[in-house]
Amino acid sequence: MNETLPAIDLHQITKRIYSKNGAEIEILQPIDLKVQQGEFLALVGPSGCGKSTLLNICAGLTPFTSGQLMVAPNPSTGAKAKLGYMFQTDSLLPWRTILKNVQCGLDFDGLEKSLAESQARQMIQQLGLAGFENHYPSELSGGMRQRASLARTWVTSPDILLMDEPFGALDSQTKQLIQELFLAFWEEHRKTVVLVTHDIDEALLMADRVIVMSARPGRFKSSYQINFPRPRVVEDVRSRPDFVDYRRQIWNDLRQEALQTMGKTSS
Amino acid sequence: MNFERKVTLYRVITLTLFVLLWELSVQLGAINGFWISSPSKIAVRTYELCIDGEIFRHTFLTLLEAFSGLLAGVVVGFLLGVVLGSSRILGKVLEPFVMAINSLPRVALAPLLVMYVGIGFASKFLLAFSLVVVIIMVNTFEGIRSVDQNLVNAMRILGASRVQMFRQVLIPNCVPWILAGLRVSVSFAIVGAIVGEFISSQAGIGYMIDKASGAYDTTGMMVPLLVLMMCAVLIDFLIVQLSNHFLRWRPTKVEED
Repeated sequence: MNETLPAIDLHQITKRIYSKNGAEIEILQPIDLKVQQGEFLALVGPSGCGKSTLLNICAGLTPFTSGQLMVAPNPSTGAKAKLGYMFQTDSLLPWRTILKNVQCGLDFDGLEKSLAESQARQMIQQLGLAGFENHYPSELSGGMRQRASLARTWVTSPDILLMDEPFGALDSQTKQLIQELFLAFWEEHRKTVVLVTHDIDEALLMADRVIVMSARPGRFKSSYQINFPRPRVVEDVRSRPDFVDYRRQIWNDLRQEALQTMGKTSS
Repeated sequence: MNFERKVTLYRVITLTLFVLLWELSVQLGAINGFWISSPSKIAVRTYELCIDGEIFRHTFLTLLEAFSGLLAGVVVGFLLGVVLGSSRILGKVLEPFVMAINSLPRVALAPLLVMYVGIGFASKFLLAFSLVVVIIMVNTFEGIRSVDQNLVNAMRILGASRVQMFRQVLIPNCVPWILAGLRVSVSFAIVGAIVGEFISSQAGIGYMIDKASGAYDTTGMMVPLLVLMMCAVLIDFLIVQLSNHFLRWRPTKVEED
């Protein structure tokens, strides 16, 4: 097994759709992207730039128009890579308790019930949700639900994590706490991550590489290697002078694109 | 006194006032008792019919017709709804036909059904069935179609098979829809049975009402109506309890009214 095989390899991937009146809309211009094993990649871009579409293509949820997509098998076992996907909404099954929700990925894998349950309980405890195992999602706050959703994803130990603005719907304090939690967990396990976000700070705090996407049709505008030392502490990173520089540069890149998007919608 | 208790108290007062007003207006001769009978007459007649057991025989038959139709309608309607909901092309093709059948006042089918299967049990059963089956089918269909696509995607990524997706996402998503449909269906099933009895029958609540009507016996018409109403209220209460049990994951309860 080749150790240097990228976890995800997109070659000239494009996506076009047809609008109701038959006009062709180009969502993604040909995209080349290699995500290395254990890399934390963040995609930022204005809304509607196709970043979520790109993520869904990686997940196999959306078909692409042309190009090649390769998802490398797990480098140590050689088995098909297991994906984890975090949505902006918690996407928990409302009719199942937290325990049963966290457990469901393990159940689908065919793990023995008692084993699945004990693993799920452990993960729930790690994420500070002990005591809520038998509650339904509707009885929990947004932050707790999103933690339960994290637990459900992590407990299956995916090789590749795809995240579509998973912290976008949370209030700012809850958001930072969950970001810290996630960062610590990631630094321990170093799984491949692709994070889609519109939050520049979030991208800089977490990722090894930040790619800025252009307004529709989406393509890569610029890319930044972020070499802040790990483990990262959120408040320390925020106060670094180069953090502020990166932030300004990325915002400048984004600004033009965002303005273009706004111009398009108002015309 | 808390809100719930206040509501209960006012309900009892409303009922008492209504019955009193009814009785008095007949006793004082304000309205002729021939048209509206009176609570006391109804009470006496109900007692008599309970003693000789007649009322139980008729009620039992009507409920049997209604509930066998309901049960068959729920089972068949659910299966049809699942089939329609799980095939995109089939659902789309059949949608206008389903809507057409749904908008047809199906009690109008009664004479046709009587012609097909005669005036026995089968015509009442089929009428109740035909009223229920479409409601449950449409609700199951909507329940499957309304599923949150995020949930489906999340489950797919977590490795759910087609069967697991059905059992753990699509079917549970239908449950609130089916229970809502079931609540409406109970009264529809009873309507079906009664209308069937009106057309032709030898027993049942509809038969009692029809016979009393022929004899200008207002009291005789009111008693079976009262019994039927009490049965329907009881059954509705049971369904609400059932709903609250099955939907305990929802933030709000199903209202009892």
